[in-house]
Amino acid sequence: MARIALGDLYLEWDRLEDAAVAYERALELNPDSEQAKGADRGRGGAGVCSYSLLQPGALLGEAIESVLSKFTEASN
Amino acid sequence: MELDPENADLRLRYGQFLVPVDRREAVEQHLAVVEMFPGVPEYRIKLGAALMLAGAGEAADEEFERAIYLDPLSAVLRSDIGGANLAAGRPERALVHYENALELDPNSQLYAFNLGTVHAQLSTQDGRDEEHFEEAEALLQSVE
Repeated sequence: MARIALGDLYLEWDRLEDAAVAYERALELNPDSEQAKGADRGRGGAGVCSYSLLQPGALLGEAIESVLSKFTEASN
Repeated sequence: MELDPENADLRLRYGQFLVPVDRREAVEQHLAVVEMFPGVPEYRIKLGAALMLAGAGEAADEEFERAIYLDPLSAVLRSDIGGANLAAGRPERALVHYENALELDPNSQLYAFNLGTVHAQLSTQDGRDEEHFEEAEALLQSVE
């Protein structure tokens, strides 16, 4: 949970790379959690949804999708 | 409750149920429990939480102070008071109590996490606050 909260914090502060690292770390530490499963589903989906900036405590899967979508937007 | 009027647990459950329905009555139920068991700090914290949600912030703070007086070295109580303040939308007050909890139990990962999340909330509450950000980052990084 601390890594997810840390990722949320970085996301709020637009530190996207740090957020991605924190969420990845959360996934490494707890790969069997429901939140981690949500992240896997998010990655394996047909398309990455565009999420608005997350509120603290959001699902890890959504959080990672949000970071990915922001990276995508930034690179376009 | 008519059958068992001194059942504190039942009154508290009923009081919790009433919070979204009738906050004044919810406070009355919590108050009845505190009157039955004035020396139990946990009940005073629950009363304080009900008072805050009923808009009686000052009375709530008085109950929290009484709870602390009853058990001044309890980190759990401080953390519970922090949680009650946070639930009532008072993160600045929650911060103080979470800090106290961590001071009383400096090795607690839970209290470090709680304090970190409040600093995180405050870091973007009214614009961006670097000090809160740095505190949040350090605390959340310290928790595994």
